[in-house]
Amino acid sequence: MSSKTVLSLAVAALMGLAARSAAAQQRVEARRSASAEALVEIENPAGSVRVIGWDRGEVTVTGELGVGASGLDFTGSGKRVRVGVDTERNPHGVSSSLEIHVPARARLQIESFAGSITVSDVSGTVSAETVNGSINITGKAHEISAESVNGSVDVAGASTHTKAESVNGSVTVQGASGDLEASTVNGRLEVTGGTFEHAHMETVSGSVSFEGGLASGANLEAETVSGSVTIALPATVAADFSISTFSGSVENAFGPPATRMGAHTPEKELEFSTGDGGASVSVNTLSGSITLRKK
Amino acid sequence: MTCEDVLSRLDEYVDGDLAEAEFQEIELHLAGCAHCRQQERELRALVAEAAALPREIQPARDLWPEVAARLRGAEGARGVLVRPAVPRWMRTTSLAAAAAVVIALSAALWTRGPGPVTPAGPRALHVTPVAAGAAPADLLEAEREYAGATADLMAALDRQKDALTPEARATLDANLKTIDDALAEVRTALRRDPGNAQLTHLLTSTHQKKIGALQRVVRLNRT
Repeated sequence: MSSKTVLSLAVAALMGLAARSAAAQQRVEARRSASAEALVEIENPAGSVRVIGWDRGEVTVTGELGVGASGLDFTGSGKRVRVGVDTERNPHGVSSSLEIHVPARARLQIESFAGSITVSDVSGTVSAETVNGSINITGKAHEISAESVNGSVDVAGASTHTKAESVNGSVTVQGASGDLEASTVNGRLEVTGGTFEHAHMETVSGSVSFEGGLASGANLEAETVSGSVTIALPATVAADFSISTFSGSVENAFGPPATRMGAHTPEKELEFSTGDGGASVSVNTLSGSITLRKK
Repeated sequence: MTCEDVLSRLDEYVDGDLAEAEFQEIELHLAGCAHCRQQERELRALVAEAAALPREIQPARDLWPEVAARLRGAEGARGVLVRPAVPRWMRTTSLAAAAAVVIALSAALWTRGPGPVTPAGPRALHVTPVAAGAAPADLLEAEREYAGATADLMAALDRQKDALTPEARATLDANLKTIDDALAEVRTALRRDPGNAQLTHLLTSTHQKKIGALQRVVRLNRT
């Protein structure tokens, strides 16, 4: 057997091994050192990602790579670590399940396409995006950005800068304060939290529900096309209210009833202040009903 | 509406000469028909080339502040009571925000033609000067911009390898239809109360949601 033939057989054998490994699920377990506030970038095209913060200075990955995966892309150390899934075909069809432990104060950037994302016990910053999957973030992350297209987004924690968006899914924010941007198209949007300085909430057909306090000079905005809006504020809130709906109803527990603006359209507007004013509350809908109530 | 119907009205669609209902029907068709979108793009390119002749003065890209000013001016000129109580956030963000969206689109859109999806420069735009009191035309112009951007994003999605599964695409289409239905509702209200600043804001912010959703899918489709 010539050396060329031997080499060819060896290459063929290696290719066969590689093909077999890509055709079956692979168990992975790996670790790398990382600094306390490391940037951890995670990409898993499909399946699930579960990230858990801990008090160790390392990132560990355990789980299973899906059929069609060629390996785990786990690189970097110290201030920046990357976790990804290498694939040999359409990555969106390679469903991998990853559990990743990161330093609690890490800065997370997570992207998926057809996968769910779960984050817990991280106190740094969290950015999570997926197209077809849910996002669930709990813990003490002080800055959160969570965006899904077809999936629910649930954020529970004490974040002070929160962005939570979906298109075809509900959005729930609990315990947040400070700055909030939240939106969905046809899901329900529900916010319960502390004291906000800025809260902007939008849906198209989904309902909006807000219950929280307003800082002095705060700005709360809610807008829907056909979804209803319910705003619950402390009875002693000091705010300037500007409420408008084209054809919806208005219920107001804080002050005067809404009045029609003209004889030819059903549009209703309502402007009033409570206390010394200062904070701003603006609600605008096309046909969605508006309710202002005391919490 | 069939492809034949759409193609027979394409000139009027691109020129902005259609009634709103028909405009909306064509927009919906284009969102789901790659062939007609291609025809529309070619026609727009032709129009853009013609518009680029030296006699034209290319206006600033920031269309909406002027639109807003004309809307306000038109209301006053028609003797319509200018709303005394537009909320502060509306005064500062509504139409200007729409302008920002249109501007942002130019940076976020993708190249045309085959091959990898890569960022592109701003779309060439031609803004036809509008006479005072022609506010609906201003709105229609803005809607055309949004429709063009939507078509570009849909085309980018179509071009991407490993595109959405049929199920995911159906979900996306269903949500786009939800948004289109909402847009139709707002347009109907605007016909009853032309120049209503709140409704105009709703129209543009609803367009913005549609564009935002498509941008996210296109971007994450490359994950």
